[in-house]
Amino acid sequence: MPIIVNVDVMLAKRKMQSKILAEKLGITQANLSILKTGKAKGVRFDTLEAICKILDCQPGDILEYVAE
Amino acid sequence: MRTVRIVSRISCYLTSVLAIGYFASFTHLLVAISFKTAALHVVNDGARFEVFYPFTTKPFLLGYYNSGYITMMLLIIGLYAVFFYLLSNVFSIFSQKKLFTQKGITHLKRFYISNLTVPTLAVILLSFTSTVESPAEGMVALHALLGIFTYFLAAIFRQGVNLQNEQDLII
Repeated sequence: MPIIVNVDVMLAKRKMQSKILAEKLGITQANLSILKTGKAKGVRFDTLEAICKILDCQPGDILEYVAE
Repeated sequence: MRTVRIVSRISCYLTSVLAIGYFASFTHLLVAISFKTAALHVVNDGARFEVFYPFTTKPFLLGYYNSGYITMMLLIIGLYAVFFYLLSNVFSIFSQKKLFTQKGITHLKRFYISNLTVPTLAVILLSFTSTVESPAEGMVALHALLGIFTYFLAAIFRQGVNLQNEQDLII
């Protein structure tokens, strides 16, 4: 998929563990893993908003378009 | 959805009780006829029979004492035990928190296949052993109708499972 999810990069920059982010988002680690590995079909605006708030970043830092 | 769960749970219990009742009756009749136990009472010079309630002399099942009639009786009671068991499985789907599941589709599939095929097969089989009474064809038609409705319901559930799987991938 040409949309790349860069949650891992942001987690590394903020030195935060996936487990902590999942807990703060109120989602399971399995669901966060689906998001990180690009298997997700979509991201809800509230999830995106929460990620941006927790990681103190912009949606563009999380999602990236790479032409195939 | 809460009311649906309550109604389906009650229906599931009722149909389970009916399935157990039919199965117990089937077993009781089979044992009484096969082993000619004390529960079997042949009357009218061997033309008719009575099967008593267990440990009583109160008539429970009555019929003609010939193999054709007994086969028909056993088949109908036995198949209705299976029918109510499958129906209780269908009702149990609606009492689950997650409605659209693969298990639900399996239960619906079993129910519609059995309703579409078994009554017809049973009537064909019975036509060799006994004179099939006219309501039997009506029952076959009713079960077929039920089977068709359940077939459509299963198609909706298949679509539901696909949508559910897709929804689960939206984080």
